[in-house]
Formats: sequence, C-alpha cells, structure tokens
Amino acid sequence: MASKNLSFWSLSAASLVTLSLPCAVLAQPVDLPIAPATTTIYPPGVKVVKAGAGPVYADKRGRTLYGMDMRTLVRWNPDPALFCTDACARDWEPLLAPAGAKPNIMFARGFGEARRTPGSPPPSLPPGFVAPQTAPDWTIIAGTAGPQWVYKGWHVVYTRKSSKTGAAQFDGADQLSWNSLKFIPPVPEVKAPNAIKPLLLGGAYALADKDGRVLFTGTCASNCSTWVGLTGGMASLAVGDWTIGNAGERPQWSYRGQPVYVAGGDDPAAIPAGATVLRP
Amino acid sequence: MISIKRIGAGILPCAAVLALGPVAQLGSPAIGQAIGQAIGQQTMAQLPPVPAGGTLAFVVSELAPPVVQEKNACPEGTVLKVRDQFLHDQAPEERARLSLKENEKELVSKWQASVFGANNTNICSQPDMFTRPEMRTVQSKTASGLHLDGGDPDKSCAHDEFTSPGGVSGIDNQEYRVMGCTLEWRGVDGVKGDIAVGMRQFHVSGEWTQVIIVRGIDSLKHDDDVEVIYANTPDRPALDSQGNFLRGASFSISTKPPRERNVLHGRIENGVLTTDPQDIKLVQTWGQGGARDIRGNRAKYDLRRARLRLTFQGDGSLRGILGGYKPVFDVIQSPGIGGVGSALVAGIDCAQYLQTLRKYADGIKDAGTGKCSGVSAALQLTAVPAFVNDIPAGSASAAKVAK
Repeated sequence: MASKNLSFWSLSAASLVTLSLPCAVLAQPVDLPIAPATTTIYPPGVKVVKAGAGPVYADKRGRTLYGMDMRTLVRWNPDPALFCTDACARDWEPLLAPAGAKPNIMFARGFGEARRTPGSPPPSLPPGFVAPQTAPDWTIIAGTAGPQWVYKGWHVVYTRKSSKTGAAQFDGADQLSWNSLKFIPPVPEVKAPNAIKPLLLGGAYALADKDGRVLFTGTCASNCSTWVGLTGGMASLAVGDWTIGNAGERPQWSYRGQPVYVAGGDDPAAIPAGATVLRP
Repeated sequence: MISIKRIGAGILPCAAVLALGPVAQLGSPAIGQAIGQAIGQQTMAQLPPVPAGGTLAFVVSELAPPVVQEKNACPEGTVLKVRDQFLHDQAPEERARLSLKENEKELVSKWQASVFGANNTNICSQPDMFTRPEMRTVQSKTASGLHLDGGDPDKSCAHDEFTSPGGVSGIDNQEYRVMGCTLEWRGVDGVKGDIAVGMRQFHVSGEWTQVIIVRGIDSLKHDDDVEVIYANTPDRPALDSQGNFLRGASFSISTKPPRERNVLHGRIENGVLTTDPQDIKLVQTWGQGGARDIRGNRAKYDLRRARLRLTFQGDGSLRGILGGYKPVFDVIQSPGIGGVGSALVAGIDCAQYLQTLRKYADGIKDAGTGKCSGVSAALQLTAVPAFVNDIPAGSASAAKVAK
C-alpha cells in the first residue's frame, strides 16, 4: 500500500481503531491480537497445540510458533523480513517453506523507498503477490534463509531454538516484536437478528449482543432480576432460528424456542446460576 | 461517602465524587523546595474544602510540554526544517544559487533526496542509520519541570539543570532542552506550538483521556498519606461551546488495553499534592493508518521514576506538572511512525532529533555501562472536577488489576 502515513505533527490527530475482540484475546500481552483463523489447512507439519494460556500453532516437533511482527522492526531494516540475522538468527529458527517455493508476499513498500518522480503512481505489487493487509492466513516471503512462512500477512514465522513443547514464554518479547501465534478458531457464520454476533468465550464461540454481552437461556427459579431479556422491536420478524415473542411487557427474542437473556454487570460473560450460554 | 487510608491497589471501592461547594480560604502556602517546583503554584491559595468523604476526582483537560516563551530561549531561531537545513549546509554561493526562484525545482529535488539513504532507508523510518548535524537547543536557563534526580549522580548522567520560572533551581528537563526550539513545540506566535493543540485533541477525543482520583484526604493543608489513582478512561469528555471541558461530567476508569491505571502514594502540603517517584504508564496511541500502522499498546506514556506535583486551585481544578524520564525514542515516536512523510511534509529530521536526544540523555541509567537512555521530561497538567467511577470492587476487571 502506498497510502500516506504522516506524523502527528504534519497532520491531524490519529483515529483509534476500535477492535471488537474476544476477552481472551484482549488479555494477551500483545497489542494487535491475531485475528481468527480462516482456514484449517496449515503448512506441512504445523499443528495446533496448547501452550501458555491457550492454543497456539506449533511445528512438527510441538514447539510454539512465534511471529516476528514486521511492523515493529522497520526501524532496524527497511525490509524487516531480512532483519533476523546475527544475534537474532542464533536464537530464532525460521519456519521454512518447501525449497523452491515462490514468495507471494513482501513487506509493504511506500514509506521507505527512494523518492518517486512527482506525479508517478505508487509502487504496485508484483504479479502474484498479495498485500499484507489482505493476505490469507499463510503466505511465503523471501527470508534470510530462503522462502519462509508468514502468518496473517505481518508475522514472519519462527521457532525459538532449544525451546520446549508447550512453552510460550517469549510471547511479547523484544518490545512486542515476537508474539506466539495464537490459534483463534474460525468465526462461525451466524444467521441472527442484526446485532447478534459470535464471541470467543472459553475457547469456543458464544453468542453476544451488540455490546459484547453474552446471551443465555434457561428458566429462572429465583432472584430473576438478573434475567434481562433480549428485547426486539414490535415489528421484528423471525430470522432463521430466531423468533420474537410478545407475551411479556416488551417483545423478547427466542432462539430455537427458548427465551434469550443478556448478561449484565461488569463482566460481560457472567450469567446467573442455572442459565446456559447460548452458542451458535 | 468513603474515607479511606491505605487502600490496597487491587480491590477498590467505586468512587463517585465531585469537588463542589464553597471555597475555603487557606493561608499562603510555603512550597517545599526539596522536590522542585511545579507551575500552577498559588501565592494565596483559595482551596476547596476538604471533601466529606476525603476524596476528590478530576478529568485531565490539558497535558502538554510546558514551553517558556522568552526571547533568549532560541536566539538563532527555531530548529531548521529539512529544507532549510539542507540550504544551510551548502556553500554560500551554492546556497544563493539554489535560493533563486528559477532553481526552486532543483532545490526541492535535492533537499528531498537528502532524507533518503541507501537500501530504501530514510531519516524518520530508520533514524538510527543516519548521521546528521546537531539541532538547535534551548539556550536559556529557565524551564518548567521537577527536580527528578534529587542531585543523586547514581540516578542520572551529567547534565545542566534549569531554574523554574518561579525561581526554583535544580529543574531536570532535558527533553525541553532538546525539543524546546522546534517549531512544533515553540510555535510561531509566541504562545503555543502545534504539540499543545494536537495533544489536547487526543484528550478531547477520548483516545488518551485521563482521570485522577485523590483518596484519603484529611486536610488540603497537610496530609502525608493520600492515595492517587491516575488512570485512563474510555469516556469522551463533554465540551462547552468554547471547547472547554465541562465540569462535573462522569467518567469510568478502564484497564482494557491499551488503557492503563496507576496507583500512586502522595502527600499534600499547603495545597500542593506530590506523589512518590514511581513508573507511570498511560495510553498514548500514535499512527494514522497505512502499512506500518503499529498503533495500540506499542506506544505509551512510559515515564520512569515519575511523579505528580499538582496544586489544588480555588476554582476546584488541579494544576501542575507530571515529570519523569522518557526513553529517548519515545520523544520521536510520532514522526518515526510517520516515516518519510514526516520528513518530506513536516520537514522533521528524526535522525537529528534522536542524535541530539541521546547526547543530552540524563536518565534511565544503565547500572553496568553508566550510560543513560532516557531524558528527563515534564508535562503541564490541568484537570477539572469530575465524577470518576473506579473499577468496582469484586468485579472481573478489579480481579485483573489485582493480578
């Protein structure tokens, strides 16, 4: 991409990306959480194992895969894919793609390259290459030791030499340059009234309202003040397994015939005793 | 209402307090000299009464580097922009030739080429890889700030100290020494620079908005044990038609990344609140999008051995200084992220800034090498009364904080 990226001092204030992310992801020590997987097809030997706080990708020996975030290293090399040499290479081992594999991604140009002739178009990607912003889960970049895997467009994949299986202690190392490659399950498709969306909760997806509060169902036996119904409009129409009921004071959604309630309070995932979390 | 001394950092009651009510009259404050001087000092303080619950709360409405506008601060003028520095470095004859209108195109081409190096590097994306002339620095002996090092050579590297506008000596503010002559700090009108306007906007927008709770106040004249919560809020402040923060608005503290919450211990002497040295982190997101966007937690207010020195004002507000040591690169984080655009559009020479900052570094001293990698810094702070809800005790968020 060649979009302008000017400083605070040269342009107006930045706009903050508002990320809607599962709680488990936000708890991670890195600031740009890895997005959910979009495929179950991995590079040869790569698998999902549990390490540290949750599931991560690992190599064929079970060692946690780490992504070297290229964005954090541009200060040290205008092509961050070539950063890991010398001391870095002594500690980190690249996850190499099959010999002869053709790279299909490169670090975005447009910021450090020699000045273009005024009026000339920004540099475009070579044929067959994808931009990091729109890359599929697994791509190949020209690394220091040959073709090397990249995850989610930005994370050049390595393992820590001499690390043990199940360990992820280098997550966030070197000022967040190294991040364990967390496996976030693919987001399920949900056919529901417009504001309801999947929310990763305890390693599996639950359903949540527009504010990220978990939806639940069940029958209240006592102290029903925390059983707040998921309300809809008077003229709401059924969507898939979702129907609207008008028996109470306000129209309330039901899912597969069961009334739906919204978790409240400080913890958006806290539901009353006896209730069941709604899952897609 | 609550009256609490020594509250644990982890489990905190929900504080919703506001400094309102009649104004009390206190005597002339004798400001302690040992810990330096903050601005906002009052000669005859009219202070709010001690709140019934011993708690006051505020939202920070201004937080920007204090610039002392005086003629002898930058006698040669502000720091040269890249174009002007390029011309300055030419031989007189060549400078005169390139300055001619008919040679403007050539000049533009040449100075813009000067920001690039080998292998697609440029002075703002890879500032460590360039050697540039030192920039103009503040030449006067006056600056606002705090006496951060306490005169202890083990905690600092050799540096000159400033005297505050109020006459207090020993002020440590090397960031101002280096950056105080930049156009972005000093401005063109002798009032304030872009940085003051721009940083305020981040607080107005809710991106960096900060709140302060002072708990356990027994007296605004003397109290050697108060707790200060200095934290971020995701709530966007309400403004009046002049753009001023409305008083008495409600805010909630959040520790959801990238926001932060700091628990400090302080004391009050004659209406001046001073906190003990402690590392302070607060949200400071940079980045305007694009391929190298690293907005988020990677940029923060990261102030080491930091302290607040704030004066309770008669109108209920709080004014003073946040001081601490910044890693040198943090000072140029914004133009560094901006990359080549910072150099070509804003004319900022990040490499020049970084080199000069390293030369004047006086803090974050490596015990082994004895070298300093940070600069003393100060931020002028103004806060107005607000209702602030801390993280409720027993909540999931409070449990995270306790960990």
